Amino acid sequence: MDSETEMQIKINLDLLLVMKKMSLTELSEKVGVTMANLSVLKNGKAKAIRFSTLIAICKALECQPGDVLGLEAIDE
Amino acid sequence: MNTLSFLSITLLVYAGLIIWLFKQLKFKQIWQGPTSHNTGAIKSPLTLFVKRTLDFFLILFLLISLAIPVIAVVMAISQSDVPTWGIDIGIFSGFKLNLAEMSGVEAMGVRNQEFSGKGLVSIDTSNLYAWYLFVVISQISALVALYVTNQLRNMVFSLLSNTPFNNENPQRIKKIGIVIIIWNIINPLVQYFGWGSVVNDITFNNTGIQLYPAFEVNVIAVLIGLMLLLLSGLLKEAKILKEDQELTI
Repeated sequence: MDSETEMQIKINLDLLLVMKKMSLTELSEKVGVTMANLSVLKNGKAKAIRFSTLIAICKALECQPGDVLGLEAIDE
Repeated sequence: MNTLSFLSITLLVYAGLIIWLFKQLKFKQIWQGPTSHNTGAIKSPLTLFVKRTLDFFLILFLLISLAIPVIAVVMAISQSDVPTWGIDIGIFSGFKLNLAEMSGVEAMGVRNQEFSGKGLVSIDTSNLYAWYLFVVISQISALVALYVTNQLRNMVFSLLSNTPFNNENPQRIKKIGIVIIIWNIINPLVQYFGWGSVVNDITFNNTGIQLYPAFEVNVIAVLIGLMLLLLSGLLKEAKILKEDQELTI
């Protein structure tokens, strides 16, 4: 991984939802974010995430921010 | 080119203009008030007022720009070789009165017996050059007004559908700005050179009166045009910020 490689943040919501056996609708209700916004986040189209949203997601999924966010290279 | 071919070309251009206009303008929404789709911004009385004012001006400018070619063609057909009638057209001209050179005229209470200024001079349409120039300038002015009104109206529609920060609005403001700047640069030149030759043909039997071509640039309008270009840049930045804000979860 050299410094020239373009990187992006990956949101590991799919994996976490499967591990915690939770549906997207359920998460949406617990976090208080609309389904539309949650799919924007899940599909990697979001440009930023608020700390408050991140805290709510971590609380709902009983995990750490590091479990939700990951860094990966953009494949051309 | 004979009269028939000239007329048929004019009619073709006219028909094309009408078809283009009806495709461009959103006629269905004229004078429409709040609907179930347009919630939010349309509830503001000011937006509605602006929309209806623009609707009114759109119809007005449309009628004018459609009427001018008809009037021009009708007058061209009905005019005989020797013009017997015409309507007065006002042309913009500078004037100078030197009372000292006129016999029997004297102004009291002024230090200088010279008066100068700019104003309208009425000439009749038996001057065919002036008549054609008048028709062309009127037609272009009406089309420019129609274009600007339509762009503004489209911007109001974007406000009504709650999507003011779209890709088109900065472009629309930029186009309006460019049109205003170009028209306010071309117009003084047309005034000066176009009407200038008409003004130079007018003669007086007294050397105390002089008419000369008027040259006047509407600086405020050019500045407004520049301001619109600036506003377009601002709106482009605002669009990026809005996008960032929408994609922040």
